[in-house]
Amino acid sequence: MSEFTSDRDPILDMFIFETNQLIEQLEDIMMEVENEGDIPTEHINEIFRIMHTIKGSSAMMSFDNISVVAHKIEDLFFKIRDNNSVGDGFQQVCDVVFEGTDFIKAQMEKVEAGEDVTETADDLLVKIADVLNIVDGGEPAAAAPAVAEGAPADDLNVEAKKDDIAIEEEKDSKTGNNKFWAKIIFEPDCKMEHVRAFSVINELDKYCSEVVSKPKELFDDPTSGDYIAANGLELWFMTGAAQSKIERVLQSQICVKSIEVKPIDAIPDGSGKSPEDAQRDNINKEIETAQTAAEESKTEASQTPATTPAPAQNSAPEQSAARTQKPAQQANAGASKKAAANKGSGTVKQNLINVNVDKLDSLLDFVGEIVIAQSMVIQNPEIKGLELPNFTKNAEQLEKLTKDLQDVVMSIRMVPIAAVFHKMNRIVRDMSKTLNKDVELVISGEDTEVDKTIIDSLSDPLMHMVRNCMDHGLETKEDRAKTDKPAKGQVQLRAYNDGSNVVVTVSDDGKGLARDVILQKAIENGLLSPEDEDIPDQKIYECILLPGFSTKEKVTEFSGRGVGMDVVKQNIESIGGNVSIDSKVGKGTVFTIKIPLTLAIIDGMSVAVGDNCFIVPITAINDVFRTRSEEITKDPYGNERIHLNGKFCDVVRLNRRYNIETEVNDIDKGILISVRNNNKTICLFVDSVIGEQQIVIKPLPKYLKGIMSDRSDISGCTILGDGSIGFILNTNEF
Amino acid sequence: MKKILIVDDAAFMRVTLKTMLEKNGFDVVGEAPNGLEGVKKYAELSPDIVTMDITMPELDGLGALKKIKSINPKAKVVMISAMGQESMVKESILSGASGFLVKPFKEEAVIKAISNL
Amino acid sequence: MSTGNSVETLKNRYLTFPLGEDILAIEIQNIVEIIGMQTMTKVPDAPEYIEGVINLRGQPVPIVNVRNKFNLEPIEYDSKTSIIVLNIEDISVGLTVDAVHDVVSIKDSEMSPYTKKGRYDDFEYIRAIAMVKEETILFVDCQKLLGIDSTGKGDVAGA
Repeated sequence: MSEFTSDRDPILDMFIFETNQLIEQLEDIMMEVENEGDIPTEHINEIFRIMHTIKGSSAMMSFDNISVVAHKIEDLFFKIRDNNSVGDGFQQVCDVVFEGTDFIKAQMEKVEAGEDVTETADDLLVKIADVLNIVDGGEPAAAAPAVAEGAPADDLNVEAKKDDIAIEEEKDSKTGNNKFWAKIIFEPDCKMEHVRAFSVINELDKYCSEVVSKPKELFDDPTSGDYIAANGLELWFMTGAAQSKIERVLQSQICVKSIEVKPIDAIPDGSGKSPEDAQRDNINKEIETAQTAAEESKTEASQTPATTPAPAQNSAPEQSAARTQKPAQQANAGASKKAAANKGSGTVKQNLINVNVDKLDSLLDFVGEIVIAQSMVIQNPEIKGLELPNFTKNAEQLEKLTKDLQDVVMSIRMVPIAAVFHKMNRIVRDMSKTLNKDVELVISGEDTEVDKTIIDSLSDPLMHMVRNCMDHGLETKEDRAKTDKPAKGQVQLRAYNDGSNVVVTVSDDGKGLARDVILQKAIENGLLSPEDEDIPDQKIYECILLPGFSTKEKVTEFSGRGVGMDVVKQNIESIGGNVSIDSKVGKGTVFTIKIPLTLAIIDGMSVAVGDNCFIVPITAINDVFRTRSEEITKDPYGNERIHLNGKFCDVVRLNRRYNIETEVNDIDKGILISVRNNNKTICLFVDSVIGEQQIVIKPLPKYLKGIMSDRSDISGCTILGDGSIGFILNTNEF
Repeated sequence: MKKILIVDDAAFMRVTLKTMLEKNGFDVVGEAPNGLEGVKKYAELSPDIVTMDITMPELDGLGALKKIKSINPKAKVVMISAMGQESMVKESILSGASGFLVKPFKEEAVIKAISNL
Repeated sequence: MSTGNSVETLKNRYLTFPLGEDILAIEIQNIVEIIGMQTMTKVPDAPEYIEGVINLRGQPVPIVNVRNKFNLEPIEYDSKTSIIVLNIEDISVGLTVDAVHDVVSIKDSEMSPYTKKGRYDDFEYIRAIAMVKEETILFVDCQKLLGIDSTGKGDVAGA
């Protein structure tokens, strides 16, 4: 009927719940009392209290008819308490209380149904008055509407009656079916337009049910005041009052310049959505329904893979090389821990539970969102520059708690890498025998914890790399003897956490990579061109990770088919990591895998370049400073350099590098940030420094990665405090 | 001739408002320098309209408004606020203020507002 | 409403939207949702058709300007301008369009292949054409439009 919200107001819910409870209580008491034939003092007090409470809360909720009845009964029991007796009126008291309860119950039903609660109980009120008289030893009062409590009370009651009538009138107005649209323009420069709008709506509320305003949010939206000043306040409402009355009410508001009221047929969607928003919502609903319907028929049609989870679960600790069944994978983190523990020392009993990985994923996502939301609160432009010591203290507390929460959640999914490392033992042993090489596997950092999903993706690549080391890296016993290295060759597996990444290295102390051979093969396979002769060694070594590459003349049983290492690269990259290779002839080869922690949160410095914001990881920053243009030297090609700490460093203007328009083009006006670029130092030139903050790294959207594939200098992005996107720089790739 | 009570702790404001109102045919029946005095004078003089400054010593505008409203629920009280007192103004409206004006205001704005009440 | 062929039904439902004087259509099975214009962050040094990135519930989503892809002049945005968020081969992208019309059902039998006669000859973005209620509807091949090949890489063609 006249419900203007789809969900009930929680305060109303509270009122309904409490009042119903009290009425029930009251009825129980009254039944007992009637049986006993007497009202003991404690019950008198209880009844008094219940009516007092109902009187108060129903008045608060503007259910005055309930309040009035409760009030009268409260008065009655006040009298009874005062006299400490019901006089001759026991039965009448009971009757009238039951009637009162019935009335209130009936009204409450209306409240719950969202109907109008306007029924008066005049007869009942008279009855209560009479009973009060009897209790007081007097005669039942004449049929006068006032309560027999003495003369002054009369005045008050007449007043009250008048107010009742006024309230009735307003209520009648409220319950009409006239629908209007109104536009109110306030005096120019009257200020606080949104509060004026509030005032108007507050007044209008007395006469209307269902008021919809545009703008919808007056206080939560900081732009509402300006909007109203520019466009006026629009209202849609339903009322029983006539148009002229509404116009009078609106006109009488302070600072109203002009009003317009028109009758309409229907009130737009209560959420105040624009028609375009409503249309988009409808389309979204249609799409969702169609997609859900299709999903359901798909799952009905195909067989449900209900049997597969079980075998996958058993093999998880052993053969994570098998397909990664992401959707319904049971993360038996405990099992793999146990397995690892069993392999090593004795059994370690731990309190464990099975958790569905999807739930953990959700949990992690939420924690990420919380970190972002928390920084949006703390960096809200609205409080920028304000002195808020108390707020700052609380904000710091929030930040600490968020970080703690994040740490705990991340630790839930973390599994020691030991299990994967230990698997390699067997491979080394088997291959040693087959290849007639004397090799031992050395493991360190096996306690390093890695996210569960990463473990699965690491297993295969590690295996390939170890095989590679065994096959190509380490020398045969004879060849090894010719060197002055220890007879026993080594394959070293190492893992550690560098703050934002898990670093895993697979190295051997064998013969190292033959740069020129690889270069040759790469050129042959079109992966490099002859001009690339002088590119850094590492880049040449990395060719062995590209598809279709292999220097082995013979394809061995284990590797050399050109299928191994490129799959490694793909696997690692698919989890957001990267692989790099270093090698020294005669000394050995090192594969370094870097995998970002799933919920990577780093400390970064945000800088502005034109309208864009970039984040430089703190760990990469040496220094931040201003300098004069004179300090910059230019070479004939236009490259800029600055002399720092005895060396010349390249200066990279980010606005030029990324084609961003900015007004800060003079060196004097901007900021230089000296950062690590592998083993060198370079200086980034930016417009200004915004601040230092914790940021949640989100990988670059896949679509952008595809387009900007050479752009490894942007390693990810983040959502900033104001909702815009900041790009994270990888200074090593400049 | 509508009767006005001016409640404001700044003598300057009281004088200014009084001048504006009397020039335009209103009868300023009283003044008060704080909320407490304001409520007392209200009870004494029963003016038609009260202009009520928000920040005052002893008892602020909001408190005085509430007390006056409890004496006479139909009392017409116009709050005089400064910028940035949004929540106080909102509270006042919810407590039954008839409206509000924001300092600094022009004479026409005051007169138009008071006349309409 | 769903007969035994619900998956088929999904395939034959399209979202129509205007582009210049034409009406285009996209299969709704790739559509995640439609939203209004949002603040966009420009992407450093990106091709012209990349309008920017938006923050969609905590995830960055790149936005492609459809007008630009069809070599049309850009226009001012208004309240009708919408973003169609797609998810193709696990790649999320949004398309800015001038407005959105309806979700309609069009059977394969009503569609004919697009035989390079219209404005968009040079582009492979249009894969079919149909006449519905006297209106010509051009069906967009999203993967070609966005240059997403089946390996899930973006803009291999680099149009």
